[in-house]
Amino acid sequence: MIEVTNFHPFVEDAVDMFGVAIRAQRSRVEQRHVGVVYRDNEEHVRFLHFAAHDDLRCGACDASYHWAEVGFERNNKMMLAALASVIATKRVGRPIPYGFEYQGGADAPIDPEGEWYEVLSMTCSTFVVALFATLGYPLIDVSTWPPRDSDRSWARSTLIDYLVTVYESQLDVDRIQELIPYYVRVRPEETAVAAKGVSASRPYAFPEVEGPSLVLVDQLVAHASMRT
Amino acid sequence: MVATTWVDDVARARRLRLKSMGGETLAPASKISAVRNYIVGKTTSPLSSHSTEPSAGWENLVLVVHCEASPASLRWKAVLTATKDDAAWQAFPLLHSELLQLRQRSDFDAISSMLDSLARRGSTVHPMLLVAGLRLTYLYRSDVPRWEATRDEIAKKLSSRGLDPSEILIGLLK
Repeated sequence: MIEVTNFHPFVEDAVDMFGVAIRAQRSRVEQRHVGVVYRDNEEHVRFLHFAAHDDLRCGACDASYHWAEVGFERNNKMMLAALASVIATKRVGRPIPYGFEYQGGADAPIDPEGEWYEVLSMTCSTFVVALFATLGYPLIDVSTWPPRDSDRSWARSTLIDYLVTVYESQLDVDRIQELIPYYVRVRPEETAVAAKGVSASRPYAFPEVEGPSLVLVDQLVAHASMRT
Repeated sequence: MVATTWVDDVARARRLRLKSMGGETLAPASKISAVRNYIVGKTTSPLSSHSTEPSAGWENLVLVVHCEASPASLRWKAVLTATKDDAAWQAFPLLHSELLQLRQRSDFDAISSMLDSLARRGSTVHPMLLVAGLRLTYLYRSDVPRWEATRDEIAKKLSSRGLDPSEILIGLLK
């Protein structure tokens, strides 16, 4: 069982090397957002997260987020921090499509140089999964994730309310539309608890992640309510 | 013949990378092997004149010898001598950059040689750099000769240092 009580409101000084940070959106608590926090080679703590279409950001994290150090041994956390730094340098400010094409599989769309291995749209959650997958870290076994009606509804509304306003091509819209009936979503809280969990248990199957992720959501919603 | 740079200076030979371009290789196999092993560091003794002396057999040798600027070898030395955290942090971008350049040239043989060098020095090189060599090449591992054998060698070296390969190399081991 993954221990979710180790997620705490973000405090910069507590970051050792590499962690995962997540929050419930204050205006829409049903919407969560996840990214990674890391110490760069100058000991600065950075927050790398895929905020929106063509909007990968790297900056400061804040106490609206809960966070936890990832459950990897030290050499691997150094490696992940180094990769996050490379990705931040290479990809922040450059196009990166938001969408549902990369769904969390072992073949990552971004290579270790921060370049596209295959251009696939991602969510904030699958961007984090992709960071791990790029270096061969198996966070989750996405083949065990169930298709959920609520996730398809979320995908539809994201397409209608958001993606159609930012995609430049109708072909892109059509491509995402075709994916939705088969869409399997790895939710932000599921990515967060899988990253937090211990190495020996990875890759996590959905049943191992589901319970802890629901507990984490309760924590995040409560925290968001306190902020309002 | 595509191009040939004669290896006549043993001090310079370490800065040269020899790459077979395929086709018929008519030079004596022993010479090719001696020069290649010296360049990739498998042997440390100076090349004998027998190994470097031109002969008729070299005329049809299809070889490209890349002469690298000396900073590359200095960068690589920084990687192989990094044993502490600070040095590993400084060496990581050098390793990353070197692998990137080689990959851009699709020089997977050279990448294989680099990983082999890391594995052979696996008893002293910082574990993060050992992990980095494997993980930075993971996505295109099928293109890198002997990637799995090198991974297994690094796993043995980590184990002999009291580190748990199944933990450090999670996701990379079968």
